[in-house]
Amino acid sequence: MAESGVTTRLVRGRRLRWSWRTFRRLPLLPGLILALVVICALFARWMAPEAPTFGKLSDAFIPPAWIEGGSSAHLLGTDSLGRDVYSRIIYGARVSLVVSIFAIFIAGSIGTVMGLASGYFGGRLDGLIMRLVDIALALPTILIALVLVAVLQPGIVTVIVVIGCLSWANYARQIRGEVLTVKERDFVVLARSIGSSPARIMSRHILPNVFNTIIVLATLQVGSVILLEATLSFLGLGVPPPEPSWGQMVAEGRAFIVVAWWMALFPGLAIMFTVLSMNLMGDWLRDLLDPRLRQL
Amino acid sequence: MTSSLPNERSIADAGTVGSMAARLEVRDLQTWFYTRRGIVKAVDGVSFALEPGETLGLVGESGSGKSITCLSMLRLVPEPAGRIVGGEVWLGDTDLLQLSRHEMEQVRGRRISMVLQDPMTSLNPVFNVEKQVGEGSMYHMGLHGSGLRDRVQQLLRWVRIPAPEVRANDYPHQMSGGMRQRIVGAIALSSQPSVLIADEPTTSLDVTIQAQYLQLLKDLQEEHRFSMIFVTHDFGIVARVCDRVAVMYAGKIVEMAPTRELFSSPRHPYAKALIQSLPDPDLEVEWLTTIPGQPPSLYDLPQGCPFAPRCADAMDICTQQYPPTFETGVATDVSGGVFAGGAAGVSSGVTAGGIGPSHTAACWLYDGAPR
Repeated sequence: MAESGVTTRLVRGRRLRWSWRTFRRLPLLPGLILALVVICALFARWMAPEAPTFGKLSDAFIPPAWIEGGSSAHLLGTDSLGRDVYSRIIYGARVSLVVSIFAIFIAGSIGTVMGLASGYFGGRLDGLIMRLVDIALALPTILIALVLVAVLQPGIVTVIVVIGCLSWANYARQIRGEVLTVKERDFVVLARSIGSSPARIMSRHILPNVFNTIIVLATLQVGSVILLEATLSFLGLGVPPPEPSWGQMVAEGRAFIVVAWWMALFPGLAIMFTVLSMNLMGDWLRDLLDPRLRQL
Repeated sequence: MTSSLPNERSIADAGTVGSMAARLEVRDLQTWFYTRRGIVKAVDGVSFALEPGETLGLVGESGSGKSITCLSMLRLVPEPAGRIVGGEVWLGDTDLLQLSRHEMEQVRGRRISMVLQDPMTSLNPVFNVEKQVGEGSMYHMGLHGSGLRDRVQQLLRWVRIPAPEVRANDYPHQMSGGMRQRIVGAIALSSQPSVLIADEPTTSLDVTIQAQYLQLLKDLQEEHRFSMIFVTHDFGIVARVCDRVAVMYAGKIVEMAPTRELFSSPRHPYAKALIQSLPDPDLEVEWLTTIPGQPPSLYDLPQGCPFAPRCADAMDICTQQYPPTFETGVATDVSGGVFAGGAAGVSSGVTAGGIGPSHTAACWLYDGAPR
């Protein structure tokens, strides 16, 4: 049928908007770095030359390979227990990734629900939630996180939950602001005028319109979550050893900074590059999802 | 042009859709806004009735309370600032203002629905047309999957969208303004309401599309037998589509008349001035007639008639007491001279005996006192 041919072509022409051009402005270096981090986390077992917890004391403090006394078996040197720094960094990517994904998921969910309710219903509920946000933002995050992790059992789950529950406030505040503008738009009035309930309006009409904000906030927050996890681990309340985490490696390296600077430097660089890349990706995503910039 | 989908009947039977024609009657509706500067009586004692199948025009300048009247009927006044403080809205034999929130959700869309002014913002940019048009049918008729898809295409056909099977997948930004407004119409009609409120539906369309859209509304009204409240400030549109007209000023209906009568013999000085300010193509005039002054601030309305300060015919009593609504009779006196009616306090637009549409005005000129 001739007409259906036209139909499919039209439809296909409309749907193919996520072409490679979309990704052309993707920042290359940050993208590569993040891809590398993800690959490391997923395939650590095959990529790392050694197990992260395996160490021989006789091999302790071997400097990086390109320095005198270095060994090609340990590209980035070994730590005080003779464990391979390179392998531990690769395995450490897991912790960073898992913590940031789950913590952001928790924070994003709490913040989104709070922000939607606050913005949509307004009134007293709004006042209550916004005061909660003020309180949450006024808390010294690291201090509270330290106390909480110390009181609860240290471990990766605790770290995730604590970070998640401490960083929802930004989402709530941002999303509330967006909801306030979206809910005044006519399509919300129209949806109400055909009998949609508040829950339906929030989930079907408002949430999709603020989703860009959520995604961008989430990517921008990956950096700070990784940093927070690293800080907690650095202070000894993150992921318990011997499981490697970047922050904890920096912390261990601190004691030997004079004799074995590589122990702290390389995990530190890993943190820096990951956080930086994530922030740049967040910027890119924000520009991409902003319809005003998309037209350019 | 009626749509002929093979399974149209089964779709129409798929769920209990809009009740059949019902009379809408608004009695002494009051909607106030509580702001920091004080109370704004946006709608203050509005009463009218809408017979099944009838089209009532609601005209008045910006801020006269037309839109808030409409939102109040649907109970969609922006809370918590705005509140319906009094009155009754009878649809058939239910007072909508007494319904629970949940019951009201069942009324919206199914018995009354609405078309808004700006088709650019009335549609959700992140969903395609099918999802939006189907929303009402999903809630009220319980349709899903292919049934819902057929229903959406039927609705799109009703509003004359060409190639609905293709267009259903489009997003609002891929459509023209006129098309979008027709989509909005399809959404509003999706559960076959008995009353459609059209809040300046053509204001943001260009003139040729305006005419098209008005024709579409009239055709749809004929096909689906709903009554319509048409908010506008364009008298051309009023003349085209409305059976009766209510003129609003400062939150009150000042005059209510059959359309033809309003144009030929307006009663209220405000309505007279409005009609006089219309350009007449037969007369070559340098200046159009204007109404001196400005509409009053709703924060501190003057005592008495709010139009009195601008009124050429104002009397002492006008600044002291708000006039009741007087029946001015179906006039034969086209010159617009003072008509001594009588029968004060007629609230709905229909004479007590229900003989036919009456002509009422809220103005002391018609209190029957000799002058």
